[in-house]
Amino acid sequence: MKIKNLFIFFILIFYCFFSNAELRIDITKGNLDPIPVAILEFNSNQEQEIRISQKINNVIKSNLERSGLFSILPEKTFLNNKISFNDKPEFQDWKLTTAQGLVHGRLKISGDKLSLEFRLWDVFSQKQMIAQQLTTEKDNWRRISHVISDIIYQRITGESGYFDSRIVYISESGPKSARKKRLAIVDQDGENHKFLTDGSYLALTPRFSPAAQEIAYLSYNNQIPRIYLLDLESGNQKVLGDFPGMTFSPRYSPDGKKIIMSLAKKGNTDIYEMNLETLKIKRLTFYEGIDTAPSYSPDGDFITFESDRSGSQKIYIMNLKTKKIKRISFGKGRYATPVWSPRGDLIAFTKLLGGEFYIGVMYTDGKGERVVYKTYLVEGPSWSPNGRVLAFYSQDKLSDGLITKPKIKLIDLTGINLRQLLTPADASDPSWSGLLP
Amino acid sequence: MFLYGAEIFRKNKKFEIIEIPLDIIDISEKTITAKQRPSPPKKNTKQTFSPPKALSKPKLPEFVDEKKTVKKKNKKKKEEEKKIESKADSILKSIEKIKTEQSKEREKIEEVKPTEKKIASSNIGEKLTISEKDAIRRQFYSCWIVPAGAKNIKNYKVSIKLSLDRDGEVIRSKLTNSLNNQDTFLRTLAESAMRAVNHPNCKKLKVPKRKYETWKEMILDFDPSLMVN
Repeated sequence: MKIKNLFIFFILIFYCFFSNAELRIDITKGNLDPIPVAILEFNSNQEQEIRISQKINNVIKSNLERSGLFSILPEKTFLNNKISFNDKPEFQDWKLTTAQGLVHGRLKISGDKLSLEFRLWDVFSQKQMIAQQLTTEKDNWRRISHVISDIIYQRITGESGYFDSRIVYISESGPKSARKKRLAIVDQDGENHKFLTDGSYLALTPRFSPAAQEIAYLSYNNQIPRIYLLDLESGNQKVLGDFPGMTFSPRYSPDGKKIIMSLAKKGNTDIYEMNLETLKIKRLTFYEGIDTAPSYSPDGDFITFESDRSGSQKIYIMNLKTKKIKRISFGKGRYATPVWSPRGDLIAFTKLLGGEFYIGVMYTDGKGERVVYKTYLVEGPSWSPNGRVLAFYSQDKLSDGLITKPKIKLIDLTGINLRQLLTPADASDPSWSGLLP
Repeated sequence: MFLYGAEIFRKNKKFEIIEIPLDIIDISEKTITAKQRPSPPKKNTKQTFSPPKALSKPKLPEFVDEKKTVKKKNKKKKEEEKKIESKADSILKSIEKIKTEQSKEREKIEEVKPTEKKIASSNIGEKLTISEKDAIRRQFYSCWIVPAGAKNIKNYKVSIKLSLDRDGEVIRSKLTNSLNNQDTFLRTLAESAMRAVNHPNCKKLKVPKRKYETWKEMILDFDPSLMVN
């Protein structure tokens, strides 16, 4: 009897609890539309200030628009074209434009110094998201535009930006039989293009140091392949060393103190690590086959590389402390050029399957593999400093069978925003720098 | 072993990249001045009437008999008193009228209220159907821009508590998660959800009015994990 009463009592409590429970609705679907942002021209007085303000405005707009995460509203939709810097915007007016973010500010030039203050507002929540003042030399207006773009990007997306960065790549020209391959550098938006070598020697696989403005690359000087280190600030170069056999795919450690590469000796290619301070070389893999294309994890504790030890090209991970090796790619096709994301969560790779090339990403345990881009030939993925965008080079096959020239393309890791990096000639093998210091 | 600068590269200094220092300072929110807007004209809810005041009193005519004037004055006083009394009576009558009307209305309201209570009480505990919940979800598809592609997006979820009026309009929204300043992505997700709730297209939710007691307060759980694989 007692048990029966207790049972009824618990049922009543259970009913009362759940009948008065708050209504909960899970919102699991939204949209991936770009966030509408209104960017006003910065308030300025003098003619020179107005001119530079317009230039900065244009760079910020094109940076954010190119990221694919923002849509910049046209000025003709604005009800007000000016907001006094110390006033709150009329949010009701801005809501009508559909803007969710609003940027305005003021610019002053005194002598050679440029000072820019700006505010970013959340229009719907009617709150200031960030306000900053930046000062620099007036000729540095392009750099300040990239820095402001990064600040806006970071504040809205929660991830660091990538606009204040550069891409080093191989510029190609001439016929197939006498192809000239030069080292070149360009801002991520295609501006400030410069050639770093004159093309008298073949340059290949450039890689940016994540810690300094330095590039490691492979060059065939006197028909001998060597790894060179190029200091971008001084223009000085040094040869990393003379290694017997072929050297490939140099890549820096996250702290810039080591270089990892593969060396081919008597038909056997293995991975080696070189300490740039002591110049000591350490062999990391001991397989009688091809281990190549190594890349460090952002914490420097692991490397990922490609190997044919299982019979075909697959991606592996090595714990540098325990030296344990684990295969992570199990899909069909050949996997190559794995690159660890600077965020640490993903590995980008090239895949060859059914006569087509793919650029894909997978989690570091090999799960969640997905294709980001595929075409006739696509290779050499390189991450943006925030791990959000991939740069690679590709050649497409046209309907008449012709193959297009190699060009560098940039794509968001969601695979929805493909852009081409504008270069004066054919381009391949891109490597993205970290954010400029 | 370590060869510095092959000749060919030493000569090759065509490029020069000079980094120019850049200073960044945070500007305080205090630098914003509250905009001095002209205060909107107050609406006159009570319509009052004040007669125009006389600029000067009329002078008494000269050579007037004082007795007559006194009698006339007394007569006038009595008439004025009568008038005032009648006015007071009419006001009192009108007040009484208003009072009786008000009491009648109250009675009417009291008669109506129990039925409303009945309706309201009958809806307590009445749950929203799946299609009614789906209508709310569908409404947020267009309002919520998901910050996709961010690191470890699968591990994040934010909840917002809404208070709605009888028309389904959001009158209050509050984030129930505690935000950690270092976790910038949680903040970004929370801000994106708050923007969705404040979005003009989602400010008024499509809810069944008769179930007001069920949805007058609700919690929306914004979960982006299904948006990425």
